[in-house]
Parts: sequence; structure tokens; C-alpha cells
Amino acid sequence: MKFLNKLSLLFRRRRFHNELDEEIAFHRTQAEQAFVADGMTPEEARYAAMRQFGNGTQIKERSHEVIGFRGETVVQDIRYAIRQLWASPAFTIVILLTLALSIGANSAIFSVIHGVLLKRLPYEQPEQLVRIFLSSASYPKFPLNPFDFRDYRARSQSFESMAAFTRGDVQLSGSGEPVRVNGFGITAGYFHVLGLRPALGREFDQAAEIPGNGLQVMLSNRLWRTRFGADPNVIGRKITLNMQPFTVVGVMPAGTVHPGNEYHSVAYGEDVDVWWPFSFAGDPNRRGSHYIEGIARRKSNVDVQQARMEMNAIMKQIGREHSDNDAGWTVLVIPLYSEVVGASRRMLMVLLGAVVIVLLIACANAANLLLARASSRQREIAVRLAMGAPRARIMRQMMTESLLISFLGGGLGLALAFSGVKALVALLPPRFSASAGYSREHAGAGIHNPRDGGYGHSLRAGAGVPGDTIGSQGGTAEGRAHYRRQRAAKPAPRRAGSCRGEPCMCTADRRGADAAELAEPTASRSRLPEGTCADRESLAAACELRKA
Amino acid sequence: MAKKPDLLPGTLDMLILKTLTRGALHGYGIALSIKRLSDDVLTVEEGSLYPALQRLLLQNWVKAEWKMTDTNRRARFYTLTPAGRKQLGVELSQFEQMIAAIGRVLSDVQEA
Repeated sequence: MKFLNKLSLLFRRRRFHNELDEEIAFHRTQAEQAFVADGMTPEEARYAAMRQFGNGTQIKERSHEVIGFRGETVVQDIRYAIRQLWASPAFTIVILLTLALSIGANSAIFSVIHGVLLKRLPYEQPEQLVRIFLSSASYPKFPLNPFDFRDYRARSQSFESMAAFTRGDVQLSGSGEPVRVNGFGITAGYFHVLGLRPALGREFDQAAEIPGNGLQVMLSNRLWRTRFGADPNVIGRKITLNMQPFTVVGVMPAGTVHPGNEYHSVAYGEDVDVWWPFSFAGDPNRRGSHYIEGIARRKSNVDVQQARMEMNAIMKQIGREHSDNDAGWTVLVIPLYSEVVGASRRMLMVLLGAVVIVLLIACANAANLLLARASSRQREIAVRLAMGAPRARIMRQMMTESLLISFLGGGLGLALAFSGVKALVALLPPRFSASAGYSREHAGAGIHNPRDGGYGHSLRAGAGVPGDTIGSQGGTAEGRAHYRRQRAAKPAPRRAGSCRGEPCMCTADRRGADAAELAEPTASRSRLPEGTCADRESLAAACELRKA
Repeated sequence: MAKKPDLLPGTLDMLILKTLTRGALHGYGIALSIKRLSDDVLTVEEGSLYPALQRLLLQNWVKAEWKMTDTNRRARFYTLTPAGRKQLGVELSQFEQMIAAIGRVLSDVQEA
């Protein structure tokens, strides 16, 4: 009932106020007449009535509060805050830019960190997965020879399963334009190692590895949908790859992400569309060519170190058996996570540290700006206090302004972060581009931080003495002197505090920046040896991986 | 503003409703009536009276109409609604319980 009445009054506000005005006027006249009847002069009676009646505006405000909704004053505050910001564009632009830039930088970096470091790899128990490479004095990280791989698979005890893969794109023809699609040759159980299962059909068995059995193919979800109309009966169908008929044996589900590869790696923004069975063709005793990469799932009771020792023992054995090709290699067993994230971790952390410090500085600056503004608005605040506005109300008003600023700054910051992530992707090694889509998730980052400024700002409203301030700025010389005495007697401690705080922040930031400068060249050198394009590409592939 | 002794908190609505049982009155009339009936002890401040009247209107305990006064001026007259009468009964009984309870406590203190 009450709510409905309020609602109906919402549309008759003007009438409500006119009626109230008339009622108050009537009341006042009646009181005046009563005083005249008591023997006062009309003028005395008028003043007496006014005195008795008190603050007419307050009566109206309080009556309005009764019929108004709770949220209404909030809307009022927001409108007032917008007008305030509009009225001082320089302040608004400076503070919004300060917040937007720092929040944007933080969101952008954090998005990258989230994408690269924090997201779990999209495989079953990814911490068990390792990549296997060879290493020698002249080739620190090298692909495997297929027959070596077969020996590892047969002899090692440390792994639940092991598979190998190599890039081999194919031309898909048949219905429509022939297209080149990214393809990989994989050994039996490759998806089993990753912990992925086909959505349709099955993956290749060991029979498919025998030369001559290789005309089988598995499709990605994307290719299945775009080229085969998501046909549920696609299993067993023959499709034309490289002018040869391949039988479809399986379709992988959406979100089957390539774990990254070193040798002819998949470029950023692309994924793998077909998998064909890797055939162990050729002479098993000639082991000079290296072009497949190993991936394995270690047993849960075997750690990486043990697996590496076992693999190196096996490699020594193989080296003795095939001393012409296989001597002098050591085996690298690298957790997949390290392989994907690699050295970027340290660099990202340094960057994050730097932008966090920038954010702190921005917060200090924003707080200072708000405080300076609050001091210059003391007169306004004093007038409002004198007019009977409760302190809490003024503090709420100030908080509303601060929150509005922080939301605007945060919003702008996010917009910047979106473009910032793109810029970062362009500037940084491709691995970082992984996270281009994640800045959304960081939306909350900026929202709370300018509040520290907000508090200071509202606290000043609480601390001001209205008469004092009005006197100081608009009134008599005596008032001004009084104001100065008061000022001298109690210096504003909060402002002093925040001004002192800033230089320390600046030093801290310089240190962060120096650290970044120091760390970055080494970090990028270690990751991107000159002239190895493949490394760059593999980074891109890693991005792809993290993106999923 | 120098304050005269305040009304007991929460009693203003009840006093207004009670005053209106004698017939329709405008805001000034209500204030005057309360003042006179209490021999000038209770003064209803205008700053409380009008917001209180809005509150009662919202609850549909009183309704308001513009009418002419004896002196031929337009004024807003408030009348009690049936719901308001019921509410007055509720508030009166609550108030009496309260007064009785306070009285019991006070008399106990005097004996001690």
C-alpha cells in the first residue's frame, strides 16, 4: 500500500510540492494572525511566525523524504556529481586519464598473465605431461628420430603412455575449393596421452603406424562442421587429401588444443584441423633424420628427474647400438607447462610489478587530486552544512563523486586494456598473445581503488567547521584572521601524509622500471635466439594452446 | 534552534490521529489543538508535523482534502480513515501498556 502510494506520488511530485507550499504558507499566515491577535504589530507577528516555523526548506525536504524512494537521493547525488565533474573539465580529464591509464595497463598485463600463467592447460592432469627433446652441444633442443622414438616407447618404464607428432599439412579437395589445412602426423595413442577422447569414432591404433595403413584421418570439430556439415555419419566416409582417399576414423571435440610444437610450429591464430597416422617407413637402422617431437604422460609415482635419468640411460644404450647417428645426444624431459610458459614467467612478473606500482602511484595521485579539490570546495561544503545538510549526507555525496570517478576511470581503463592487450600482443613475443581475450575477466580491478581518495575527500567534509570556512573565504577580515589562527593551530595531517607518501612511491616505481629494463633483454634473449624463426613460431603455437 | 521539551518519540502519529477523531482539521488546527489540549505542554514542531502527515497519508490512515475555512481561505483538511481509526486503537493500547510498564518500574524504585 505504502509502496503503491509512493509510486503514484512519483508522477505527481510537482503537485505534491505545490500543495505543501500552499499548506505551509497557510500555516504561517494563521500563526501570524494569532500573534496579531495577541497584540503584536503585523511586522513582529511576521517575524515571530517565521521564527516559530523554522526552516521551511527543511520541512519540505523532510516531507519529500517521506514520500520519496530510498534510491532517489542516490540518483540525485549521481546527477549532482556529473554536473560537478562537467563543471571542472580539467580536473575530470586529468583524474580519469590517470585512473584509466593505470587500470588499463594493469588489466592488460594481468590479462596476459591470466592467459599465459594462470589458466590450466586444457588436458587431463596436465602436470603429468612432459615434452621430450634431444640435446647436443650444437643443438640444444632438437626433434627426435622416429625409430629412436619407437625404442623409447618400447623400453621406458617411467611413462604411462608416450606419443610423437610432426607437422604435415595436407590439401583437402572434393566438395568445394581445394584448401590447405594444418595437419599433424601422430603416432597411436597421441590423444590418449593428452587425455582427450574423440567425439566420434576412435583414434589411430598401432596398426595404422605400419606403412601402407596410413590412409586414415581424424578431423577437428571445426573442419567437421565447416566442410562436412557436422555429419554424424562421417565415420567411414572417404575424403580426398593430397589427391588420395583417406577414411575418416574419428572426429575430435571442440576445444581440442594443439600442445605446441617446435619444428614447423603452428602459427598464431591457427589450429590443427586434421590428424593422419604417422608411418614408420624406411630403414630402422638409419637414424640421421630428426623431425618428430615426443610427448608423454609420466606415471604419477615417477618424477621428471627420474624420467629424465631413465630416458638418458635408454639413449646411451641406443647410442651404442647405432653409434653412427645416435651417439652424443642427451634427452630433455620438460614438463609441458614449463615448455609452454617457459621464460616468459619472470618477464611477466616484472611487468606486473611495474604496473602495480604505477597503479599505486595513480591511486596516490587520484587521492591527492580529490583532496585538493575537497579543500577548494570547503566553501560549498560549509554552505551546505550551514543550510542544514547532515554531515553524513555530504560525505555520501562526496563518496558518490569518488565512486563515479572510479567507475568512469575503470570503464575507460578497460577500454584501454582491450586495445592494450592488442598492442602488447604486437610488441611482445607471440606467446603473450595467447590471452588477447581475457581483459574482460579483470573488469573489477579498478573499481575499488580510488576509494582511498574518496575517504580523505569525505573526511575533510566531516572536519570542516562551517562558520569558520565561510568567514575565511567570503566574509570579514576578522573571520579570515580567525580562520588563519585555526589553520595555524591544527595543520591538516591527512594532506601532509599523502603528499609525503608520493615520492616514496616514485622511487619504488623507478626501481621496478630499472628491474624491468635489466630483466627484459636477458629474458627475451634467452627465449628468442637470433635467427631461429621456429622458436618464434612455437611461441605462437603455445599461445594458441593457452588461448583455449 | 532552542528546543522546548520534545514529544515522547513515536507519539506524534498517535496524537495526530487522536486529534482527528474530533473531525477534519488542517495542519495548523492540529498543531493548535494539541497545544491547547495539553495546556501548552506539548508543542508540535512544524518541521515534524508535515512530514508526519505525509507519512500518515502514505499509510492511508488519513486522507486530505482542500476546503474553505471559516475565514474563507483555502486549506488542506485531514480526516481520519477507518484504517487510521484502527491504527489509533493499536497505538493507544501499545502506549498504555508502555506507560503501565514504566509506572510499575518507577513505583518499585520508589519503594526501594
